[in-house]
Amino acid sequence: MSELQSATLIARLRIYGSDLSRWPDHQQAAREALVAQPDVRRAWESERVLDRAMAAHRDAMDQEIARSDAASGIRRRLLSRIPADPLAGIAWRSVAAAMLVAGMLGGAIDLVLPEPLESTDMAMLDPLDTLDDADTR
Amino acid sequence: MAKDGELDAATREIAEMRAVASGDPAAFAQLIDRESPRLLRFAQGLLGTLEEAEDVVQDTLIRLYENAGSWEPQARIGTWLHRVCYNRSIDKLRRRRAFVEDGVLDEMPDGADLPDSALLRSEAVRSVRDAMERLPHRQRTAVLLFHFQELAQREAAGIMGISEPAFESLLARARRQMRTLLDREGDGDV
Repeated sequence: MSELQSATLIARLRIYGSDLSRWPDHQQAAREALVAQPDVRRAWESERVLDRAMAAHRDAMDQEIARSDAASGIRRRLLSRIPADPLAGIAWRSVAAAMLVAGMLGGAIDLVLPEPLESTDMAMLDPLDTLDDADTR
Repeated sequence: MAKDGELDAATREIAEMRAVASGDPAAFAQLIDRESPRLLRFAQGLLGTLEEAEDVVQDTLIRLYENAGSWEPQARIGTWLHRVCYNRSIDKLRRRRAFVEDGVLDEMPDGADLPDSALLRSEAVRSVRDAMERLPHRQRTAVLLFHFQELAQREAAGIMGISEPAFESLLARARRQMRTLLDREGDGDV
């Protein structure tokens, strides 16, 4: 490893910190190899102290937010402001697709089923006529 | 593979925004629950108080709701929210110091009158918090976006409306100043 590479790597550590996976370029294997060098290793450890301190601060902020009513308050206030829509949540696309499929199925069945060979005559019996016949007997 | 993942995420977000635009409260509630704690952390880091952060995050999510109907997936929802949240926070900082010219804002240290929090009692945590509050707001924003919000450099630079080299420079100065402040405060053992 050249001195230039080592210096470049230390400079990158000073910018992006000790978590090599967060660096914008993608040469992690090379960086991990370089971290094994004593001068780079020292710089990495120094940056890791800062990173850990920032992570602790971030965790403390998250705990404070979780304990507060802030997120649930925002949720409550925002949901009370949006107009209630009783039809919201219905997947209209699914409904339309189901109707289309049903229509196509109906058409297909109509095409597949054979036409009746001869028309069936229907005799309508007038119930009153029948009654009259019975009465006259 | 990564591009497929990005496409899937974009498709999911489009569907989510359509549901929000249709007035589906469950979809909006889910989005609020997912995004608000993270946005609160970002806004609190910028403004110093949870109360002000709450206002900013609420305004930000209202903006999202209003824009849901015309949502175009030019950015991820999270990135868009961070950008709006950042702009609203800057507006608040400017109003807080209405007597200061905008150009001077970057040079001003923030958070001189921030309330203590019971959860930030730990010495190490308090030292970092104090050091961050002393950073100029653009440096602090760079640290927050990259290290606290864990956004990629390109995304973070986009949120701040600056180039990636400019963001890199801000981040370098921020970390250097943090180290200096922490070393000055103690013996360097943060």
